Amino acid sequence: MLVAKMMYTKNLNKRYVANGIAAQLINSDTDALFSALLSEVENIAGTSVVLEAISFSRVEGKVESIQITGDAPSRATLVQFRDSLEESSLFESAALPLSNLAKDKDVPFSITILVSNQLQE
Amino acid sequence: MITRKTKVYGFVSVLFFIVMGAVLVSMLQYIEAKGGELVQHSKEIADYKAREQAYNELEQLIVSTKDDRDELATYILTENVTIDFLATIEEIAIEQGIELTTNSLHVEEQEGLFDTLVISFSVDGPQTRVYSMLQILETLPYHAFVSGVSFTNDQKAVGAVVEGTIELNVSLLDYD
Repeated sequence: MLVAKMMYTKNLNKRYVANGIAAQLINSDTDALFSALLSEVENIAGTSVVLEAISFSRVEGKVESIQITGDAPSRATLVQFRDSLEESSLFESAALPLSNLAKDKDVPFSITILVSNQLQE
Repeated sequence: MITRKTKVYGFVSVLFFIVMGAVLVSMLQYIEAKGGELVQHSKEIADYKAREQAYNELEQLIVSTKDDRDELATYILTENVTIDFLATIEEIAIEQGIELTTNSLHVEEQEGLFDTLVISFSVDGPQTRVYSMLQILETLPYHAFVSGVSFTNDQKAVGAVVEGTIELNVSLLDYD
């Protein structure tokens, strides 16, 4: 009887762990992958804009923003890059501070991109 | 005519009636008590049978779900396979042709069954390979997600070389 009870408890524990794992997997976030976002930024930048640094982070499982810094050959190219980022379905907005547009050529820039909410629902 | 003999018979009859009445009441009480015990035993037997059935069903469930549970277990890291997990990541990095160093490793305790193992990696290598490594880390067959990425293009290097850090969070089964 004691052995049967111990087996019963052990089996219950096994089931509890398996249920817990299943629940954990079911509740997995289906958020955007950094690699997909990175690829999109790289594609938009193409060869016209040089990306020097890029960083992402998740807050409570969601990618809130992407920070990129780099160099653009001209002000017009940089603005076009910003506009292309904003047109992408993956991104909500791309904030380019006006101070970045001081120079007309070889423009160093810093852009903060907000990731589309739809991507993270 | 009421004789002495009749009185004795009468007295004995009344006494017999009283005694028989008392015996009958006692027997009824005894039967009632035994009936109660029988009902109690029947309930215990029914309880026992129900538990036995539940146990058998649970046992069958455990047998029938073994493969599923074994598969589920492969998606979750446990402390005893953490070293192998890190070794695998490092082997993948070598295969990808990038330098990968484990900067830090710590466990964030969470409520419930799972803790989170937070691993910070430094990566350095050709851009496409580093990006490919990021994709691999994001699609590991574990309950894991990349929580932070920071890459810098090395402008002085020949070709597109990237260095940076990747922070990976992996669910760690806590048996305590």
